Amino acid sequence: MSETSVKDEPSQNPDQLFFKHLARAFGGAIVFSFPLLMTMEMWFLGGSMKGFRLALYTLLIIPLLIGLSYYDGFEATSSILDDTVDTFVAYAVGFTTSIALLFLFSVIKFEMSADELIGKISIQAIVGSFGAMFAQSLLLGNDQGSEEKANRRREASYFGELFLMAIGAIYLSMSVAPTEEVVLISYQMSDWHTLALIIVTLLLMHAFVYFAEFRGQEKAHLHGKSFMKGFLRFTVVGYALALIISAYILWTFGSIDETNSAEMLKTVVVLGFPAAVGASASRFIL
Amino acid sequence: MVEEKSADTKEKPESKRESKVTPFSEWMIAAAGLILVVCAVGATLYRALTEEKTPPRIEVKVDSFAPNGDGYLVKFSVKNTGNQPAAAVTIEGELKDGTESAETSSATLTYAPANSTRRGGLYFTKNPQQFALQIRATGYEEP
Repeated sequence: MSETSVKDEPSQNPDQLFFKHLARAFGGAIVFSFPLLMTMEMWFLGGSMKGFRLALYTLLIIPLLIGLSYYDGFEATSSILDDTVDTFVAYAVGFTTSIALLFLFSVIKFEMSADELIGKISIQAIVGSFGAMFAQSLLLGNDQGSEEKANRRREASYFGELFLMAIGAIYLSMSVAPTEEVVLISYQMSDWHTLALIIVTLLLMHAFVYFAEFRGQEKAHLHGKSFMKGFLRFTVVGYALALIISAYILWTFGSIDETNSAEMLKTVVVLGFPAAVGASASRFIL
Repeated sequence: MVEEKSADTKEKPESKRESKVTPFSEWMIAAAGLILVVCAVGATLYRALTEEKTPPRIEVKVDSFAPNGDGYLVKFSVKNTGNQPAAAVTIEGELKDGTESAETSSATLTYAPANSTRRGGLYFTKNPQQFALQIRATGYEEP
C-alpha cells in the first residue's frame, strides 16, 4: 500500500513488500487464534450458533478492524481506504488460516454440511482476522512497530482512547468467552463473590490506567484533585465498556439465553474481568 | 472543544490536541458509564442483601410431541424456580399404561441456572400420546 514504515527498505518493490506483510499477517493470525482453534466449545458453536448472531458478529468486526488498522495493523496505512483494504486482507487471512488449521485438526471434514462448515470456519475467521490485524504488536513488539502508528496511539483523542480500550477488552476476553468455565464460574459464585469481583476489577483497572501513564497529556488528571475525574473518565467508563462488550459476546455465543437477569449480570461480570483488565491494559497490549 | 498547542509536554510536534476543558460529550459518556456500573453494583448488592437462598426446584413442562424417525420425540423445557443453580440435571420420562411402565427415557441437562429456562428432548419408541406421560427431574449436582 502506499507508505512504508521506517523498518522496511524502500528499495523493495510494493508487491514484494506486500507479501512480506501478508506473511506477517498470517503469523499474527496463527499466534492469536490457535487457543480458540483448539477449543471445542468453538467447534460446537460453529455448528449450533444462530445464523443471525454469527452474521452480525462478522459484520461488526469489520469497522472494528478498520479502526484497529488505523492504530495498529500489519502494515503502514495512509488513508481510510487503505485501512479498509487491509481489513479485508486480514479477514481473508483469518478465513484461510481457520480453514487450514481446522482441516489439519480434522474438525472440519468433507462430509459435513455446508451450513456447518461455514459456521465453523467463519466463527474462527473472526478471531483469525483480529490476530492478523494485531500482527505488528504480536510479532514485532511495541518498539519495532510502525512509528507512525505508535504516534497515532499515543495521541489518540478521548474517543480514540475509548476505542483502544474496547480493542483491549476484546483482545483479552475473546479467548475465554466461549468456554464453559465462564458460565460455570458465575454459577459457583455467590452475590457477595460477584460484588467483590466488581470491586477488585475496578481497583485493578485503576492501577493499570495509572501505571500505564495513560496518554501523556491525560496524566495530570490522574493525580490529586483530578483523581476522581481520571477515575470517572477512564476507569469507570472503561469498565462500563468492558461490561457491554462482555454482554454482547455472551449473547452472541448464546451463553445467557433464557437466563434470569440477575444470573445474566453475574456471568457478564465474570467475563467482564478479563475484558476490563484488557481495556485498562490496552496501552501495554498494543 | 478548546484546543491549544501543548507547550509543557514532550510530545512530537504533530501533537496539537490538548483539551483543558473536558467537552460535554465526554461527560455524557462518563455519566452513562457511571450509571451502568452503579446499576450493576446496586442490583447485585440488592440481591445479596434481600434474596433468600432456596435450593434448586426443577419444574419440567412438556412443550411438544412429534414423530421422529422410527420413534417419537417429546420436547420439554425445564425451569429452575429455586435461587441456586443446578448442574447435570437428569430428566426422566415414563410412559405408563395404567400402573405398568411401558417405556422410560432420560436426558441430562448440563446446567439449569437459577430462575432460568433450559430445553431438551426425550426419545421414545412408543407413541407417548397413547400413554400417560410422567416427566420429572430425578437429580442434580451442585456446580
